[in-house]
Amino acid sequence: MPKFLTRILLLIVVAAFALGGASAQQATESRTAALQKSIAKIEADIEKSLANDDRLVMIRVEADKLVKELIDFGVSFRPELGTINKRLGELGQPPKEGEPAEPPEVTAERSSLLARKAAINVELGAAEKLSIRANEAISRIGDLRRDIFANTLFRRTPIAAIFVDENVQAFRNDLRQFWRTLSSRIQFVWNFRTNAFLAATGLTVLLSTVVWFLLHRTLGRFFGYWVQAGELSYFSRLSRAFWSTLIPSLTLCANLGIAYWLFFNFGIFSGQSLELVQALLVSIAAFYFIARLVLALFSPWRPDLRITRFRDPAARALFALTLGMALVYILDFFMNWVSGIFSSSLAVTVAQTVIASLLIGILLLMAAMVKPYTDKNTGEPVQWPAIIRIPLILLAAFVIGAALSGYIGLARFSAGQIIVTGAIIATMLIGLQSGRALATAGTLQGSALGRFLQGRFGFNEVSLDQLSVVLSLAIYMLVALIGLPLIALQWGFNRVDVSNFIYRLFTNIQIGSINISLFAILFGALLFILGYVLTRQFQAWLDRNVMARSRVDEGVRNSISTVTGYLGIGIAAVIGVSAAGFNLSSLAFVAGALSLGIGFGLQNIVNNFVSGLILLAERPFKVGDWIVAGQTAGTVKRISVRATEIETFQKQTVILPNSDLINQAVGNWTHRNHMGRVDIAVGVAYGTNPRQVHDLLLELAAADPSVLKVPAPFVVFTAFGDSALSFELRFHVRDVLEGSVIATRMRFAIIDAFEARGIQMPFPQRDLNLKSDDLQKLFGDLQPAPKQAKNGSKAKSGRVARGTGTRPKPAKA
Amino acid sequence: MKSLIAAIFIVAGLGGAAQAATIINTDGQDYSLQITEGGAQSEIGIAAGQSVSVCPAGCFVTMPNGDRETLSGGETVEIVNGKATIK
Repeated sequence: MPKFLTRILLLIVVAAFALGGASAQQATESRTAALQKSIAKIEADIEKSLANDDRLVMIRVEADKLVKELIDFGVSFRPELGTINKRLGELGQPPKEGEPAEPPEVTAERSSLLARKAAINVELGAAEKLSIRANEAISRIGDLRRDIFANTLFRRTPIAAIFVDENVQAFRNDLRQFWRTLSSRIQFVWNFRTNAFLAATGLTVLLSTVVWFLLHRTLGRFFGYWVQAGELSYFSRLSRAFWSTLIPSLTLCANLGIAYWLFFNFGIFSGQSLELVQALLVSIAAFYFIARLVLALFSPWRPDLRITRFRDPAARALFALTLGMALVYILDFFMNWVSGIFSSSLAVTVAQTVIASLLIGILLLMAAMVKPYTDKNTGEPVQWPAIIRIPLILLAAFVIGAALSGYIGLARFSAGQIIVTGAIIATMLIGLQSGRALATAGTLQGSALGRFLQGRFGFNEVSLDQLSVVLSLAIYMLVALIGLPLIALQWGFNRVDVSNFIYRLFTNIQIGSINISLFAILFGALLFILGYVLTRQFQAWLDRNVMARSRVDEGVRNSISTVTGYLGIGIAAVIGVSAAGFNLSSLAFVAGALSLGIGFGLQNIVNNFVSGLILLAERPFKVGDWIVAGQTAGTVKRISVRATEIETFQKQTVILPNSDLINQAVGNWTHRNHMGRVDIAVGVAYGTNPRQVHDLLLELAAADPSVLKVPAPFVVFTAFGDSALSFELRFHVRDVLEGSVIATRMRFAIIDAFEARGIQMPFPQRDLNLKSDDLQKLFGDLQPAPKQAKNGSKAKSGRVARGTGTRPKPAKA
Repeated sequence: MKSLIAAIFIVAGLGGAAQAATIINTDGQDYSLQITEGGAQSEIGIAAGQSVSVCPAGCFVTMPNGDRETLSGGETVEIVNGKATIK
């Protein structure tokens, strides 16, 4: 019974699966059919618009979309495929011959799953084929557009035939029609849809004011200090040029966008009039941007804000000329758009293009003739350097020549490229100059940003300087990353080519068999820096919050935080290196090869390194200890991995290699505690009562508060010296670092006490015995000194005192 | 001019440039995959234990066992015992 039930259940499951599969199959089939239809439509469209560039661009966008759709379609099978594969894995392989047979349900389910999988594979195969077709269509569009481009570029139109009265009339008609279309529409709207018109206009004014207020006022005030007169740094002038171009342009664009959106949504303009408004708005925005850029570049009326070294008249002339070129170019662009809307005769467009190209050429020629610089010595105006002047003249001549000889397409194309590429290059140059100015030391400090960072985040001069280098690099990269693709796209490179190039540049530069990925290297460096910072943070937290609170011994704290630091940096380095794409196993190979070299050459360093680790682990001394190692005695300042810094009492820093500290005996005065013994040697004259001295010294020791009672001080009667009875007062002090101070105090006390009791501290004394014969010999020959000889003979023997006073052994302090 | 405006938008869009898919071969055996990317079919070999980055713009892949998969970029594909799993 249960077996029967399970069978039925299984059957239901399989059936449901099959049914679901069937309906899914139908859905995908219809989707495949739809995709197939779109590709067929694209192919047909291409054949229909072989000579229409604009249309081809549109088809290209469609094809790109289709390729993406195909990929998405393929990806949409993934969950189902995953489920099927998982289930198949659970079911296992079908039993081979000789193996026991499996239940028929399992076989049924497997075959159903396999069938579904095969169906999906077929779908995917179809999608793959379609994607190939779509991509072929894309490349065909590319070929066609190249042909069209070449045709328009190199088609010759006899221009004598265009400047006829008829065309002039047609041109006038175009303008008139433009005006009529707009005004009649406005009139219509004014008469019949007054409310909508008023609402749209009112809202436009309102929103524009808000945007203007927000962008211009707030940001403008933020950057307002440039407006104040006075000497501005080069960087300030550059940033002023940048912002004074960007902010007003953005404000205008936002306002125009708002206006367009409102007028579109309120239905004020539609059809032709809407297109005309579009053309007008885009032209206004473009002209305004170029005008602001040119104004910022040449600053014709404010020499103090100028970012170039041009003379005043030259700056004004260049301003006028470039503005003129931009005006001509944009008028041409606008008129072309308008004649496209009205489908005017080609002759009008050609005539207008010829005039525009000629004007641009002439203006360019005039710009090449300007003398922008001043000779430093004579003060005479100087021309452009040949490297700028000659290409400008050649370009101008080329444009004029092309226009006059009838190659209208070429003239128009080159004039357009000169202006657009020129504008991009000029903008890039401002960016590059800013980067360069920023990299110069001290620039950031003088700027508003620098002051802000200093005031708000407490950046000091050094970190500001480092930040400025990083920022300038970032600006360079940004300029290159935005400007170069813009120029490339402008010159007809394909979007996919450019994005693939950038992608490869960052992820996969192949040199021989080595793959370098800039992105990975940057990422690795970033990870390393992050790891470093985290390590330092962790170290500080561990030291401050955990170990300081747990009252861990300072030496242990120091050891642990040092080891944590090295460990963290090591881990960060390993993570960084592997993230940068270097294979760690190959590094291990290199390390293996190097270890032989290390064995010989770097033996010493490795020895010190290992010794350093041992010092940190074993801790024979810690930072702050007073140690004696060989000839060096002093306080330990820092234990690092290769060497240990010791500061002697003369404040000389001695760097002692760690291996020395491991291999030789190191005395540590403050190893477990700071208690230490001070020995003071005292000599008293023969004849003094030694017991009295003994007691006196003990009394003195007991009287000093710094002398420890336990272990008790004691006096040792050390020797019967040549000239004195030698004693040594030995006592313990709590802090051996104060030993010399206490010893000095004790010596003063001893001298005072001895003087008070009349105890003498003798000089070292010698008995000198001289024989009289020797004296005779010595003085006999010396005639002029008979008296002395007599004295000498009399003094058969005499004591000659000689010495330097008491010389108590210095206490070990 | 229109192309400049288009170019500016494209450059702005390049910021989110596509990410490649990564295929990792965890087996001790070399495999070859058939990849269709941008209308071109190509065969790539993945050595044992190697990982390769493919098709930032999305592609169709035929796995060694005949399974077909579609990658949109950014995925990690692991080949374990000749079977591919996408993560």
